[in-house]
Amino acid sequence: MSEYTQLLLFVGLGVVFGAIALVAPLFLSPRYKGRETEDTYECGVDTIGSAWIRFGVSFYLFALVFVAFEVDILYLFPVALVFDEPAFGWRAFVEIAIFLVILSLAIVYAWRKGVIRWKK
Amino acid sequence: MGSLELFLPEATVLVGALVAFVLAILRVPQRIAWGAATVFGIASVVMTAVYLNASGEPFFAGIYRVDALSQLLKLGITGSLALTLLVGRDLASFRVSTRVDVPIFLFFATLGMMALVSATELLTLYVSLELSAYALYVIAALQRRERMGSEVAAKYVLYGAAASAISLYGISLIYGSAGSTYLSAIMQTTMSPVFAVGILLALCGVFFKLAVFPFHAWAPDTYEGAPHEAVAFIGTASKVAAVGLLVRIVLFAAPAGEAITIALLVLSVLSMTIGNLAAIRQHDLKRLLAWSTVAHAGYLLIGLSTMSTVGVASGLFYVVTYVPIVFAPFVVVCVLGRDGSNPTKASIAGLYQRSPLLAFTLLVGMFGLAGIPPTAGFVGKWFLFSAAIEKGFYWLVIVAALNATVSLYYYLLIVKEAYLTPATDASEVRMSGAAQAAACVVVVAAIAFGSFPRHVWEACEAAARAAFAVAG
Repeated sequence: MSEYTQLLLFVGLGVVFGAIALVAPLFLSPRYKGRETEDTYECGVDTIGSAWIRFGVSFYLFALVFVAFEVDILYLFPVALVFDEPAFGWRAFVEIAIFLVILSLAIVYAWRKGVIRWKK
Repeated sequence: MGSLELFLPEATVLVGALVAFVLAILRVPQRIAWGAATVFGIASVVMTAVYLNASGEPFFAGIYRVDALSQLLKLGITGSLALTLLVGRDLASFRVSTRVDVPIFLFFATLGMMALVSATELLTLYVSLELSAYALYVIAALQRRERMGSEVAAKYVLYGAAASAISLYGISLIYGSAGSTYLSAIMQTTMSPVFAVGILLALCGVFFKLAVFPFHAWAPDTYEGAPHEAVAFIGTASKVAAVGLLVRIVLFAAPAGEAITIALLVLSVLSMTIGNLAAIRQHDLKRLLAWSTVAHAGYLLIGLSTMSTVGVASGLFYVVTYVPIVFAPFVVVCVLGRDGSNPTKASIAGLYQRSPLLAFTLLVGMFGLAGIPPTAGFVGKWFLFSAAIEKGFYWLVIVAALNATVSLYYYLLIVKEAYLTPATDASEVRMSGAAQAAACVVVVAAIAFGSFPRHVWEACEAAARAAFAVAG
């Protein structure tokens, strides 16, 4: 079997694998419809009232800024692990400080652009 | 660690970005932000020119390489930045509230592209690619007409993200078969089908940037709908950076040589044919330029598919001289489209009566794109075709020559509109001093590179040799 045939086989397997995941539910999934089926699903908690209500668009901007900052906190963990080793110490501190300053620029930008001001 | 001094051209751009950022958050008037940005844009060109012959590795060994190839392309990239800033005083097609922010994104995109042409390690390469891409996605979306801006940005981002995902998958295959992300180590791998497939998939990201068929679908809509200056920048700097990346990948992919050559040849023929045929039908100047880009990406691939020093050098010559040539019509777009609309064949009628300089810029641009002497477009095609003949790709040269003939038709039609059709609205077109300077620079550069190509050609040959030297 040549190497290209092997490659083709893998591509074929990939397609079959994807297809199974799409086709199997057609045969396996239970079929009934009730009130619950049409309900809005949010983390398994029953919704209170309709989900189609209006809320301030500022929430959306807040959430964006928050996510941008929060996800980057992940990068602090690896530094925290090596922080007290003599080989890193101050270098790690300076590097993470630079990193945080760059991150803060994003907040400063959002702040100066009026994202944090609550619009009514 | 090498000498950090080699990083000075990039550092100039980075400082420019920070200055633009500070000016933007201090809410200074747009004119001042523009002035400061333009100064830094020109400074970055000067800085790159000073370090044109530099070579070495400013950071850890093997990830970032400053050589003749990277420096030549950086000159093209910073040149595009400076030209874009020169014509971008008013930024008329941008949303008013965002105009002061535009230089920040231009600088970051430039920085990403400069890192891209120097990167010799897959992750560095990918991060630089994304840095430039994200900045471009943002400026493409800042169209004054918000609905249209969202539409073109969505198309650009979705195509870009898809191309980027395919590229990443290719990179993972390359890493899997080579066991290293350093291009110098990848070079040593033995050829395997997985490696060839990996290289081809990784190239998809480059093909997207160059708008090579079948990755061209974003180009016409994005060119038509994105703000003028953003398109001018995407249409010049982005192509130069993509060619740098293409040269690096193609040369380091030497183990998979044959498969890559065939793929490049097929894409080259398809791109230039489809691009030229579609361009014939366009009335909108920006849309026409988009299809012309697709065609020119096809010509470029001729040079790279030969995988010879002469071929790569001619590809580099083509893209470096392509910057002033294709920027010429964009100067016209930026000046005429000051009301935010796109110039069409109808609106450029009688342009020579309304602004002789602008009409002449358009003429030189169109002659350059069509490949008429004495512009650099002619010499560029000459080099490409002779490199292909040297390798015995006669049929490819015939197809390309036929395509060049087809393209003559629609390029000259534009010139005819500007020079022979009387103007319906004979009011004079006012140009800012900076825009006039940009027009003069591109006209002089396009004609000078075409009349006296020796120095540029020697620089391109040196760049190609440097690229081959790294690749062994």
